[in-house]
Amino acid sequence: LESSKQDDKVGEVPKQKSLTEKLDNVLTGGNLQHQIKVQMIEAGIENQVDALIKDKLLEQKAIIDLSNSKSGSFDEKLAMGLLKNSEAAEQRDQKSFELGLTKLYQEQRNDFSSYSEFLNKELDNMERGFNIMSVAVSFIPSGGTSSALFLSGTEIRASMFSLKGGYGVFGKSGLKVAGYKIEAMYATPRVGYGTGSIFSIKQIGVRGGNFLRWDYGVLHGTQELGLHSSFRLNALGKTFGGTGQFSWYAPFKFWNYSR
Amino acid sequence: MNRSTNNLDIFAYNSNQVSIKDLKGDVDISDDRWGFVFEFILKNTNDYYFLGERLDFVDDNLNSLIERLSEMTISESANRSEIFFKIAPSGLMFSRKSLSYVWSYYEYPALIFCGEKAEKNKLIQMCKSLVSYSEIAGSIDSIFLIHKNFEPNVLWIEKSWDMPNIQSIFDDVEK
Repeated sequence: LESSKQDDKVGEVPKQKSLTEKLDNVLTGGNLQHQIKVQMIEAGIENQVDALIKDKLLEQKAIIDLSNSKSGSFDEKLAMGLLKNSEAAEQRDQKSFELGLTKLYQEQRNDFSSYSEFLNKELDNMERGFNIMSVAVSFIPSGGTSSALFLSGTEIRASMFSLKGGYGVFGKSGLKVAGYKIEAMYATPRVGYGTGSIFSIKQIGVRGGNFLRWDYGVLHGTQELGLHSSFRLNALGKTFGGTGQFSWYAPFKFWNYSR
Repeated sequence: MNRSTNNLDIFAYNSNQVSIKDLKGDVDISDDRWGFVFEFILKNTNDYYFLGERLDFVDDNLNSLIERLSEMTISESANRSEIFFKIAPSGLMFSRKSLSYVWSYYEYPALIFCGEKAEKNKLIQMCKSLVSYSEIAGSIDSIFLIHKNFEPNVLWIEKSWDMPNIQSIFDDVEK
């Protein structure tokens, strides 16, 4: 038995990588090349997500400016121009984002777990989620009052929330990133014509998780449409915000709403 | 008209529409404090439906809860992000806690209570289209509809013109 084991070892020929194989590994689609490609695509996707959020918030700002400007004024034309630009940028970035995901999936075709690992890593990245939230907040203008801020015209309001069949900028499934689902400008026809949510970011798959939402609708005890916010932020061992709706600017001072 | 009772702030817009804010927190429809609303509505109705729109989050319990409560699924989208089902009578009478859980999964849930004269086909058609809850209650006879709006601590009640005046519920409670 001992001698047959030795015979086996003698029979083994150590594998030598050919020069072609080595070159292939480094230069023509081998592991290193593959890893570099994946990292570049992932970085591109992350940039597109940031760009999309920025586009969306610039669009919201343009809509707010539009609603606050007088009909036929220079300000109105300026806001309309900004709105068109932001919508065009948004469409472009949305396409790039989708293209990036397709590229990543193709690049990872032999390793689906790596592809999903990337997405999951993003979903689990709480810190990044908070960054997105702070970006969102930083883009909302700080002037105006809640009653005068939003949308005097029914047409503007109706068209605002009619994107993609009423599902909003990011479509029916929303945009999922960093453990959060982001939706913008979606209609809420069940609770009234012309109502909707301007921006929503919420933690996925968690009851009682973080969320931030700006809604345009009717509240208890009123019969007028208005802009309001709701948010819940679990941070620093406390929960801020929570039940009910607050003024549109409350998330800017979330520390005042500790529970 | 505005009045408060039992930590509930009640606002009646007209005889067919009322909203009630729970001053203690998010609405929990299984809480005993809402019992008087269900007692009143159930006296006048006999078929019940649940309509859930915009699933807020998903976990392992949702499917089993729906299976338990549902007598018949009328329509549902992928992953149950939207669902419309007929509630088994026991679901409403004895399992309001389960119903309350399902309610909490959706951004815009509604319970629809049908009386004898309610046209079920019309109701189903309207619920499948994206019309407002107020419009549904205004277009179909003999129904009550309770739903959540933007505020999770407010319950809205809508009714058809031919159903008993909602405000009489609160008169009874205050007595």
